Amino acid sequence: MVETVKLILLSFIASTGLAIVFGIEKKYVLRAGISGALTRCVYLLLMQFTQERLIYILLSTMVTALYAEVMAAREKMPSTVFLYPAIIPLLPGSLLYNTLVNFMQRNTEAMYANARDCILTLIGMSVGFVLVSTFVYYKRIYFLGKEFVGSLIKRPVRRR
Amino acid sequence: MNDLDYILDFAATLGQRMLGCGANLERVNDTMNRICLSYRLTDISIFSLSSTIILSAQTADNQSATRHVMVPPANNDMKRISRFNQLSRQVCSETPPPAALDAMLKQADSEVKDYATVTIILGYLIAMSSICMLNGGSLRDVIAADLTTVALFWIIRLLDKPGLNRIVTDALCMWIVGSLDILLVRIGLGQHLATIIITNSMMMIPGIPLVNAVRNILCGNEMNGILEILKIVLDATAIVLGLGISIYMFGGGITW
Repeated sequence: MVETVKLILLSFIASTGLAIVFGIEKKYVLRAGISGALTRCVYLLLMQFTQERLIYILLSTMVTALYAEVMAAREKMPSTVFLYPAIIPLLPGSLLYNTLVNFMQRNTEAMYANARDCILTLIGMSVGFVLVSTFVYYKRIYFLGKEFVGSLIKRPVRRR
Repeated sequence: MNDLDYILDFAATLGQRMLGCGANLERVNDTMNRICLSYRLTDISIFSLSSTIILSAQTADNQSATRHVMVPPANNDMKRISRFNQLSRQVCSETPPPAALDAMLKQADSEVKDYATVTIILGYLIAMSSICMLNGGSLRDVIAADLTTVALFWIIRLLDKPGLNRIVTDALCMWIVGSLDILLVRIGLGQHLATIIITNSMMMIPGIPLVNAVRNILCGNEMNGILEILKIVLDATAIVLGLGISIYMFGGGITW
């Protein structure tokens, strides 16, 4: 339990620090930190239910992307602002590093294992982003269309 | 210059600035398209990669024009992305006179206040300390990683100035940082070399561009996605090469 809280707290701090590095406005820095903590929280929770990397990465990315889209809509900002610091806990930096190091050491077995995990992580993250952004896009179109039709119906008829 | 020239100049330059600040390609294409549509341009055609944008459009009276701009290597600058996003929303809703667009873009750019260098270094230190601890580093590893993070920050700034090739810069940076990490472990400050090196390499390994590249491929921008992946593989190879040189230079006695 203590270890879990520690991981979530560290993810919060890492995302906060990177929010400063990415030049996010001061008022959004803490929210970026919260998004990092949320990502780690979901990631750890999902790992309790499944050991399939693709599944837990995909679902935690979807939750993160949804959070970023909701915040973006609320603050009228691009979702990237909340998304980039949030995905830091999921980035396969060490997997990519280990893949290349094992390649140089000609340790084929470890290289393949790391490369497989790295590719699964990337696919999971990308599919998660694409699914959420597609959903948000169609939702926006649906509501825009509804608003437009509504405005046509409600528009008062001008009398001569 | 006529109105079409002003509009295309604005849309292409805004797209260039947004891509240069780290915005994703789909969003930039959408922004340029919306700007052109808000001025009732037709036959809008956009071809963009992360390094170039080609934009052409036509007016109602059959005048057409094309713009081709090169995009500098991207840095993540969220403040500017947000400001440019606000500007594009404003332009689309108010459609100001086309001749005023250039001044609006320049004003928006100058309004953004960047963080002071000390604040950015502090941000890096906060992030890298926690990433080091997430990777299982001890307090001594955190101190060693922080020291090399500050060194790496200045090395990247120094090597960026002469406009050296990115691959050469990456290899050089990682060679210097790898050597520093080994020295810090040898003098007893750092404990786990791999943890410190992985932490430092997080500053250089292009994780976000990698995710964006795969996203490009899934969203139909296959050419950009494939080019980006190739660039990232070259970058990552340069990083490992630099690190490899530093380890062999110190006799290869330290394990990876």
